[in-house]
Amino acid sequence: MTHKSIAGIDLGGTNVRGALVTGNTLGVIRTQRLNSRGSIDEVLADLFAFTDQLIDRSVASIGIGVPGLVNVREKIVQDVVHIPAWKQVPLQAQLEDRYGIPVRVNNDANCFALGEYYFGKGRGAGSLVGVTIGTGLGSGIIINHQLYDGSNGGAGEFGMMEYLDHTLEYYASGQFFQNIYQTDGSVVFNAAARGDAGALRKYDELGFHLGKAIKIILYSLDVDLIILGGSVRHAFPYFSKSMWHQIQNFGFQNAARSLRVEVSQLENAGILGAAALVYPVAS
Amino acid sequence: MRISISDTYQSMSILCAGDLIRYLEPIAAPLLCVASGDTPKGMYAALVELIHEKKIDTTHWHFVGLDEWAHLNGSDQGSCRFHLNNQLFHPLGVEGDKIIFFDGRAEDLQAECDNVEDFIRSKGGIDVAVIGLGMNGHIGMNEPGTPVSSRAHLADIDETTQKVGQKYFTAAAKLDRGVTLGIGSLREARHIMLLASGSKKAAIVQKIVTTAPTPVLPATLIADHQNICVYLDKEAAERSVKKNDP
Repeated sequence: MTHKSIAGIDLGGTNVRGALVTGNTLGVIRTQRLNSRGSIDEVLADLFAFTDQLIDRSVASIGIGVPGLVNVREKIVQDVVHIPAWKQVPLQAQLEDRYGIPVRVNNDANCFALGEYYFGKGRGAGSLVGVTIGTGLGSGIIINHQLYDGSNGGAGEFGMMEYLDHTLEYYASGQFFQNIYQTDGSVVFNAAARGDAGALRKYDELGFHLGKAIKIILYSLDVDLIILGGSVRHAFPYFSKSMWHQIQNFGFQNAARSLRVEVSQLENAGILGAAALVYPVAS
Repeated sequence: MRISISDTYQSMSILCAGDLIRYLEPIAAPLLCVASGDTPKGMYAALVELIHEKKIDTTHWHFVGLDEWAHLNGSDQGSCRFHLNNQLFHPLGVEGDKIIFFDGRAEDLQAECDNVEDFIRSKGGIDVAVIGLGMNGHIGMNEPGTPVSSRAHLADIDETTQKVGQKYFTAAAKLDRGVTLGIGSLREARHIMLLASGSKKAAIVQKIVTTAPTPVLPATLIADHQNICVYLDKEAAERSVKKNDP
């Protein structure tokens, strides 16, 4: 049993990445492009081809994270961002039929939270929320050592909440720069790195909105630990001050005082977390 | 384009003031573009009340006036600046150096336009533009025919607008020209709040919300802005919404 590996797969919008996880060791990361415009079967064929290459005889199970809504109880991938054809895909059954080993499928933000819980800043924590801040705002919730994904797999979608005149992720994710300033997040990031005052002001604003997002999470779940992932986490030094300024006036001062906000240091939390889907405690 | 319909002019004004505060709150030193006129007047009253009641610090706010009549400035009763002084700047105690406003009495009005655009640029752009909708679809003094790319400019005023504008003056005023931010200037604002109230605006509101962008109706040229909300009271919306009554 200890020598058995798990294949952890992170299905993205444009490519699929994966590795074998053996104990605490992450194997070589493999990447393959994905024809995300293809039909259900064409995307599946890409995924099968990738998985064929990835797994070997040591693999006892497969965990896979997808950027979309996954109904874990009914074992159906309902909807995937960036892969239009993927609606109501029985992905778990398809992979189990092909490989004859147990498969677990879940949302990618849930995998991120699990990855942090087992391998990252969440080790030792009982409860945490992993917040992925990229082009959107997603989250994975771990409460009392268990992933909580809700009755239909939709728990933790804080980014979809109505906020100001749009949704929370319109303002509190990488979209913000395009939506409000008609500029690309990477341009602002590079300018902020040079100390550009205008860019730093934009990050102050983003931090304000992220602080609001974190307060929503605190009011909902009252966790002590929030771990930030996604590409925008690299800009943490630029937005942390205004983010904390927002959190300071949280209604329950004890919750604000005990809160830790950490930035993920794992480059492959999604793959690790996908593998962790098959751990007994998570499933 | 989002459309918000309030039951009364009063409730529309309060809603606008609250939304404006929420848009500006995340920004350390926001720049607000303000229009004068009967429609936003109620919003300014509500805004002043809200700011005082919630003790909101506005000392870092900057203001730019949307437009002004040629030959007039704040010392003239009935000018745009005069009304905004009374409705907004004085009640909030805004310091003069936080406000940039077209001086319609200036000899070189093109230099005024350049000044205002420079000020906006130096502040990193307009965060929220509050704009009223004119009877002929104008915004600011961008009358029908103004191109979408226009910047601050000296404008000829449409006859309709000249007639309507008389209501702000006690004696007959010459209102044939004005200085205004252009449609291109306004499109660069982060948020646009377009306001219209009263049944006399119902017909033009209906045109604006149903017509594809055209210079004939200047307000349609900002209708596709990513973050625009049109605030209406029930009367201004009466031709644009389906009646729920049987």
